[in-house]
Amino acid sequence: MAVATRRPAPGKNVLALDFALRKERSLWGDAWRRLVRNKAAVLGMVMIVFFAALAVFAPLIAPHGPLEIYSNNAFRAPAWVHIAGDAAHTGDPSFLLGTDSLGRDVLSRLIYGTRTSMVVGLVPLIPTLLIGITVGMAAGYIGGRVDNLLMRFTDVVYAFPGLLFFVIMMTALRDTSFGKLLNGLFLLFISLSLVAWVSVARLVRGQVLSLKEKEFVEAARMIGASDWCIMLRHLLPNSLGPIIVASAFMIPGSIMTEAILGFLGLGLRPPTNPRAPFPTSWGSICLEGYAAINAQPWLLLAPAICIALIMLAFTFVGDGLRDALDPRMIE
Amino acid sequence: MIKYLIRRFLWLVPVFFTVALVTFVLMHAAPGGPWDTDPMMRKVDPRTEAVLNRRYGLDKPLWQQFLDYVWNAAQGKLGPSYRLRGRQVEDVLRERFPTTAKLGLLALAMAIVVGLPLGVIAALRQNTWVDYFSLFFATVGTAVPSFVLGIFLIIIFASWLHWVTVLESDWSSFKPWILPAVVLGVGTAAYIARLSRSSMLEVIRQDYVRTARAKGLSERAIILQHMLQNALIPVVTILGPALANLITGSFIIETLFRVPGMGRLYVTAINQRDYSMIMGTTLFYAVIIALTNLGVDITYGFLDPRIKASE
Repeated sequence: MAVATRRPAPGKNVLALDFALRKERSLWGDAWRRLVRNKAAVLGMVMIVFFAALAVFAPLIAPHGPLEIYSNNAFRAPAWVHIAGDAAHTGDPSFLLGTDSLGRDVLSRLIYGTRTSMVVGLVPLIPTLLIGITVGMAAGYIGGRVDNLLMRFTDVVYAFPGLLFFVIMMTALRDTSFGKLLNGLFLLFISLSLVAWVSVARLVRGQVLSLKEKEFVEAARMIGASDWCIMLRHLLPNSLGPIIVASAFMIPGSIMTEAILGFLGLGLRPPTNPRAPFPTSWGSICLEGYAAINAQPWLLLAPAICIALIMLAFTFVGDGLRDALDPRMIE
Repeated sequence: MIKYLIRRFLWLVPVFFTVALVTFVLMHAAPGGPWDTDPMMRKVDPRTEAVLNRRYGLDKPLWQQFLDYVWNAAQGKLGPSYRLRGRQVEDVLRERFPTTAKLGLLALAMAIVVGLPLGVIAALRQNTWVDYFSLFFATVGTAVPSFVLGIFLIIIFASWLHWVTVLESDWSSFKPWILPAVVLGVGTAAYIARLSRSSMLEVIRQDYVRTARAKGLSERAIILQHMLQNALIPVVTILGPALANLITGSFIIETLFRVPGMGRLYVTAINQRDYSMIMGTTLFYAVIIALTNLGVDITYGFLDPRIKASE
């Protein structure tokens, strides 16, 4: 019987079966097609690729070193601003966006700041998803005490405003040896993941609770699939859509948190090593710019524009993913 | 229902306890004592430090300090500030809170006045330019962080146009409140616009709207009495948490515009390592959030009988 359904050997009677061999359209393929049809989402993806390229190739793109100090060049205006009779502050084509209070090139610092935003957006996702999916799956599938514990824990986390928690974490642990790892980035990753995994766990729990009553799970159990197999092969792939959407919205959230902390003076620590990979962040530049708002407004404006653009980019993609992965949205 | 309320209320106790514990542990994990955090100042001599420690109860074992703190906090006593000499944290909070509450209420009012009509009109004129503008506003308003928007507005209105000053010191007049309230409220306005649009769109297709139209009611009466009354329920239920968010989230806007509210107090306390102030403010924020969440749950309990049954 199996023989009857087998595909014909190549070159043998293929023409007759051509209609049956139409290219298969998978669920994910359909979602992708819906995503690329969404103009805003495509624009967002292009912007993200652009920022990612800036981050990766920062040393090649940046015209100056991010920590390089040009004496007698402090608070230089952007290149297009011409201040007559003030040679020290008038625009200079070699400093496209001007310089900061120490005479460092704003554009180069912005380009290096992209790196910080990108890693802060992406790296905490890994522990967040690992822990969140594991706990959520366990809570939803096993239920009982594990589930109860998770829900009580989320109550506490939800009552603790996330931003306040980050602020306290950074204030308290910034000066410890642990807080100094990677200029403080490591502490930020930990803090962000500590809060974010809870919403992932809740999401996965909800998915698992509704999915585990479905017929296909029952069928899998009937043919003797183990719990592990059901969780990994059936429940996980079927809850992947909402997880992806939630992740897409977590990235801009983390980037914004870093920017706010940087603006409060709780972001990255100033590097001691001149070749540090993450010398500054957009939030920290905002703080420097805020102090010099009248001397060089572009020091504040430029990083603010960057933050706004990257937030919009990730939100567009997130919105697009949500529409693409939820076929019910299409009318 | 009563039983459910009591249970929800009692559950707040461990929540507050945990928030206090986490904050306490983190504050004490910070290197250095409260008296030597400023490297610019000369070191406090050991004898003075001992006196200070005794006065603030810091010579007791940590667990006792914590229990004392929780016991006092439960009675509304948050202890003396480490930096503002002779001031109690709860007095400072009482003094600063009205400013923050005023800012939050102004922002909420702005969010309702802008967001609601935008959402409702967008739904009534679906797929016209009003609708597209409302969707655009909703997307940008939620995506762009309020402090980035604040930076744009400060540069435009203070640096370039000189309509307001960055260093505002007179908060008795109305003018300096406008920008911070607008900036703080934009995210909420966008959310309200999105929510009221979608809930109006749902209502528009309901049978009772068709019935009202069939019996010849004027369009005005249909919109005001039949559509809005039903469409506004979800919007009303989010107002409480929205206000809580505005109040607890305003510290960055207060810092940006130098508003003398609770949020700026908090940021100053952080920069000065005023631990009792940080703890007190955090707890206060947590109480606001927990109480509004509880309020929402209770309203839902009244509005939706299914929740009562399941609990």
